[in-house]
Amino acid sequence: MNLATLIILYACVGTGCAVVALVRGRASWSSGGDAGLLLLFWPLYGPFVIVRDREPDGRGAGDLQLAETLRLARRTPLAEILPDEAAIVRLSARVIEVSQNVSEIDRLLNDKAMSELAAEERQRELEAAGNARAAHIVSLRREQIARLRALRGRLLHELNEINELLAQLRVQAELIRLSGAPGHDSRELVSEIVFRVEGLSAVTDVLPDPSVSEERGGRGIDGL
Amino acid sequence: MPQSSVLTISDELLRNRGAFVARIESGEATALTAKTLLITILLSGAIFGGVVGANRGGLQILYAAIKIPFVVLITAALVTPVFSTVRIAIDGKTDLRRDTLLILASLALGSLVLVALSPVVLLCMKLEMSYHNLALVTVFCCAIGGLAGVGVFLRGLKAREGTGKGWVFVAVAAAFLVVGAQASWTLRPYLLRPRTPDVVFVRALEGSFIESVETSLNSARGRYTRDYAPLPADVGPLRTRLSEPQTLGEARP
Repeated sequence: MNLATLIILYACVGTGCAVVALVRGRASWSSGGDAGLLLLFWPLYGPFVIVRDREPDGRGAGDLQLAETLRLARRTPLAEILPDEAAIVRLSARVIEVSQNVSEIDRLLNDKAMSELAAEERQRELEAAGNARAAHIVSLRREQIARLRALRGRLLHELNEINELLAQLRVQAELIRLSGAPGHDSRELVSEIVFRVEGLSAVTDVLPDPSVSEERGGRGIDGL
Repeated sequence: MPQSSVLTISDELLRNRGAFVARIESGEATALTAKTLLITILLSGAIFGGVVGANRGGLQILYAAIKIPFVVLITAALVTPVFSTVRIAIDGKTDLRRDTLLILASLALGSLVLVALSPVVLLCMKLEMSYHNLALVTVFCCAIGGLAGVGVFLRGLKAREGTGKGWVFVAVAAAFLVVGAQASWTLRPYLLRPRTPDVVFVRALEGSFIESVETSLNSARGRYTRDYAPLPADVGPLRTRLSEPQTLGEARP
């Protein structure tokens, strides 16, 4: 294979990546030449534009497979302590929903309008220009973006922990299959997983209420 | 992409590397950061390449401005999979996006340092430094840029969870050295020898990178291995020779 063939192959893969990104709406020529960058530097830029598509089904980020793991464990002596099929479906749907929320937040945070750095820069510009009122509005926007980022962090943290517990359950299930009846720690592990999944909704509850923040923001603007 | 974002991210890379690396490691850095780092490398490399190419002037400025960013990005594209693979082999897990961002951040900072050192190269040209000494100054600038990049890489590696970080660093540094040296060697010339009659985009392969460094060091000390170097007037015969593989130390009568 000579250099010309390599360049042609490279360009073909790059073109493919750019087309996929354009078709899926991940890139556009107008938004800073994403497609152009993909075409030229797909080995480096591809993971940020193409791979993101794997996340919405909840398996891209953490390879989270709750239903599969629990069903696998039901074929072992652990079955007696596992939730029934309806509960597995419900728990799995909850995990997938939260994974999709994380992907949605990622998509939002990738938006130019949601850039914390851009907002910070804008706030500095407005402050330098002496426009305190507009600068305050931008600071409120920054707060909202920070809340979104914090929510993403907490959800991801919870999902990662659930993922690790599932990995542990898989190992424990195999051990029990080969060694005998489940012990007390297995029951605790299953309870912990169910508790964590059902408690996912609480993650969003502990964050400050957006309406409170908006109200605070409203007062702040009025008070200027 | 808003100009301010690009500048803000670059500013953070220069002034607050701890926060920048933390942003990468926490997964907060996204496509915009990757894009900014790529553009930073492209622009910075092009500026430094243009300065280096100015030694010859004319078309060489454009050629060097195109080639230097590509050398950096080819190196990044080949070293990133090595980084991820070594992490999987040693630690059992990796994240391609974070790995790519860390490599790009290291190279972007190195490229920015090169831009900062461009006036040094220009000053040496103004002082009419010899070609070989200028080549060494250029290599020295690249070494300083490389060390700055290593600093960012080490900071990012330290911030990560996992074991065997020392081995990961050794493996990635070795890959950088080999791939970077060979990529830059393959796409040379950047400065262009003063007696080279024509400006060429890429020169034919001659010897290895290590041999070239040794030859440059000897030439800088006044020790030449050739009896004769071609003059620009020798354009005809040279054109034929340049298209053929050459061996260092070959005497040209």
